[in-house]
Amino acid sequence: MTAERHEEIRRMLSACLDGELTQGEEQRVRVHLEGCAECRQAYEELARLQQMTRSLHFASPPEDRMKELEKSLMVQAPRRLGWLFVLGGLAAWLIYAAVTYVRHWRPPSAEELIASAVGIGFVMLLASVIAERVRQLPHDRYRRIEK
Amino acid sequence: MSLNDEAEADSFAGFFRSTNRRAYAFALHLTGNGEDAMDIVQEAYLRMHERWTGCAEPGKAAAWLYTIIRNLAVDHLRRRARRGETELEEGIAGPLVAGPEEAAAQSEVSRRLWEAIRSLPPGQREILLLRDWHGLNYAEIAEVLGLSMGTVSSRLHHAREKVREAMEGFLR
Repeated sequence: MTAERHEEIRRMLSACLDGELTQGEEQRVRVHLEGCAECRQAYEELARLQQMTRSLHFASPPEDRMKELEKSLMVQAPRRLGWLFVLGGLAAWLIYAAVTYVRHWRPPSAEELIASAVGIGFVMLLASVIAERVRQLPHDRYRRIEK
Repeated sequence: MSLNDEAEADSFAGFFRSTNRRAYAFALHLTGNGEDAMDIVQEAYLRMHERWTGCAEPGKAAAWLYTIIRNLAVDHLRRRARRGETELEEGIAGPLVAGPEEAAAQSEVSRRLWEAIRSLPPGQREILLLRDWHGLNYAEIAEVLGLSMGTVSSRLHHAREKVREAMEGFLR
């Protein structure tokens, strides 16, 4: 075994440890390790080092802020849902206008359009509040407290 | 268990729970400040949540999260450096261990190991931690840091050799 080849294998030990070599490269390293005590020791030390690094203890995040963040992420209704309510309201308004036209053979008056827009808007608002409440329910920390 | 194994692919809640501690540690080691780290983690998850459609591959989601955190941290450090509060490099080299209580909980060997890791050049240290502590594979690290896989492999090799030398006598 030449010194260059030995060095080449040494450079591959780290990637071998991580399972990042090709099958052929890994095979070459394994064969070399069987016959080279120095490289075998280096490989074992790298493995031990990796284990030790994995078990290093780092500072934990502030529990309360992380819980707050989780809650706000989970209850935050996706923006798409808001648009669905807007589109749903618009569709209901157009359907109302079309139905009025078909039933009376005249377009709805301005008063009727305003009244229906207010009514539909109110219903959509109520629906979005209920949807928001339903989403919040599993994350509400006070839900088990009796009033 | 590695970060990728823990991450649940189809649920943001599961992804958040399985990654938030490591995400915080990553932000902390980039900024060296707990408050800044928490702000960055919060912003990163909010950004991910806006675009979350259920990632098929948990590894990709983790790499995505780490990329956002790193970009936010670099921006944050640049702002701090402009204000003259800190050197850009100083932030990157910031402490990973929050305070004396955490430090005391670690053994002498761990402390020595951490000293060896901390003395590495930032580019090598970051890769070593992303691989061995955060559990990212080479492709994910390359994506997060914008490097080639060959560079990742080479830097990791040099980093490990340096730490191995520094830890001589503690590895048997």
